[in-house]
Order: sequence, then C-alpha cells, then structure tokens
Amino acid sequence: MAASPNFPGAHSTAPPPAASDAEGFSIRLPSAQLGDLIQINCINRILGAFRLSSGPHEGYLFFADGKLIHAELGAATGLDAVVQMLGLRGGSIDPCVVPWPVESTIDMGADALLLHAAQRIDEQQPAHGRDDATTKVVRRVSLPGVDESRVPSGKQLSQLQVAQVTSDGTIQKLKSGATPDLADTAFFSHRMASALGEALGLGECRAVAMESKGEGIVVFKARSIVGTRGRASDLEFILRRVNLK
Amino acid sequence: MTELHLQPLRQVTGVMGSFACGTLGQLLLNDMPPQYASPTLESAAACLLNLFQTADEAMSGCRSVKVAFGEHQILARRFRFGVLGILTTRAADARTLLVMTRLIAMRLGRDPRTSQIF
Repeated sequence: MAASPNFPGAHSTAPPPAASDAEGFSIRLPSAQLGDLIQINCINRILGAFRLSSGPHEGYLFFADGKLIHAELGAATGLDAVVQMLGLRGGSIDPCVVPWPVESTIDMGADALLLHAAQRIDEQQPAHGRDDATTKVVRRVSLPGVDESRVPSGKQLSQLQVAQVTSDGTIQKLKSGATPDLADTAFFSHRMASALGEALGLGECRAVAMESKGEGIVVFKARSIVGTRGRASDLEFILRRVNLK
Repeated sequence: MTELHLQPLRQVTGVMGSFACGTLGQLLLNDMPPQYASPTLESAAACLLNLFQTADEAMSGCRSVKVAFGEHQILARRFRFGVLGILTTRAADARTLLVMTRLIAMRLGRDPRTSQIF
C-alpha cells in the first residue's frame, strides 16, 4: 500500500472519515457484486475507502461526492483497476482507513463508471478471446432490478456507435463507426436539454434519450458528453444505467 | 388554462404535470404545476422542438425524447399537432404512462384545438 504512487503518505487537504465510522448497519451479503457496492455508495454519496480482497488480490476503492474517485488493484489504477476488480470471482469488500489518494483517477458516478467499464471490457475482448476472464466480467455486473439475460454481451455493446465530445463541442473520440454528426448531435442535444432544465428549474441535465422507429440515440454527461447510437434493443442497457428506462 | 384532456396523466404515479405545444412552439394546453407560467412553458417548448430537430438531423423520424435531471424527467412525445411534454419524478410508472399518453393523444386528436392545426 505504501509503495503505491498515489499514496505517498501525504493526505489530501480533506481526509475523509472512515466509512466504517458512518451511522448505519454493517451488512454482509454473500452474493453481492462490486457493481452493487459502487451503485449504492454513489447513490448514498458515501465518503470513504473500501478494501477489496480476493485470493491474492487486494485493491482499494475511494468514494466521495457521489462518485468513485479512485481505484487501484495491484499496479492497475483508475478504470483499469475497476475493470480488473469486476473480473474477480469473489472475496470480500470492507470499509477501511487508509491514506486518501492525492489525485483522483476516475471521478465518475456509478452509471457512467459501469458503462465505461463495460466499454473497456468490450475493447479488451479481441486481445484476450471470448472465453477469458473479461468475458465473464460482463456477466458478473449485477444490475438491481434488471433481468440479467437482457444485459448485452460485448458484441452488442460494440454495435453501438459512441462519440465523446467536450463541453465546448470539441470531438474527443469516435468509436465503432461513429461519425462527427453523432458528436454534434450529442453536443447540441445536451445543450438543448440543459436549456430545458434551466427554463423549468430542474437542474443539470443528466441524460437525453431520443427514439425513432427501431433506433435511438442516448446522450449522457460523464467527464465529457457521450453520445451513443444504435438499435433500440442495444440501447436498453444504457437507458437503464441512466435511469431513462 | 388547466386542461381536462391532460388531467388523467396526473393519475399516473410520478406525473407532476403536462403541457402540449404546437409545431411552432406555441402553448396549446397546460396542466403543469402553477409555478410554471406560460412564457416559461413556451421556452421549454422551444427547447423540446429544438431537441426533436437535432434528433431528426441524426436519424429519421424521432418520435420521443426523454430528458433526465436530478430528481425529475421530461418525457416528450411527438404528435401531428406538435409535442406533448410530461414532467415526472424519477419514480414514474413508465408502463402506465405510456398507455395513458396514447389515450391522451387520441383525445387530443379529437380536439379541434389540436387536431386542426396541421
């Protein structure tokens, strides 16, 4: 732990209270999944660190302000660490007291994080083959209230066009055949939805879903504005993630 | 300007109010909570129409738009007369809302104010 580059012993300016000191019950759920913990901690805006132990593997998750701000597992940090953690078959996750990370490596809410993790898993598939651990990861992401059989496979996710654009409209990334028009659509629709929220006093726009016959576009805000386009059936997973299903 | 046509939507769990606007953004029917005055709703209608137009440029025939905010959602559905906008909480009963929206659309189709616009 002390050897980690992100834990030089110097705490951040606001070291958090230990999650274990928080009011409430300590609950052990033998069949719980890491995805559940991330969602619950983000929704409840938990501030604290958690230690994940699985066989020889030990990792840490840090939550603050409704987001997972840092994760590490062995040498992996950030989203890479989360992806690897999602692939672990079992173990325990407990609140712990450890030095707070000096810098954030993730800074995403549960919805965006798990979507990005699923995309990362999807991107890793060609390098590892269909039957490796990352394929199993997709199956292990447990979604409360979601029929697991309807969670798309990596192949389905890869059928979605994805465009990432900054808040000033600069295209960051186009994936899976996405064209600049998807980035433009994501940018302008997010801007219009934000104006709608401003007009009605509803706060910040979290996501927009636009549907036509058989296909759709879902736009959500993570670190950047992300636009996804695909068949309606392929988009269901994302709609659930952004609470629009 | 509370509209009988739109009132059944309020029976759906999570629905806070609704409004209908024409294809040029003019407010046609209003059953929104009283804090939303007509100019506010016309601004909202303009945003919704722009959203539909943006979607149309990326895919043909956008029929519905949903926007998620912190605690609320706006569901907008396109009809011949324009757009029906519904304000809901996150806990809205989506299935019942879909059925009720179709029913409302049929009623609006029979109303001269909405059926004869286009």
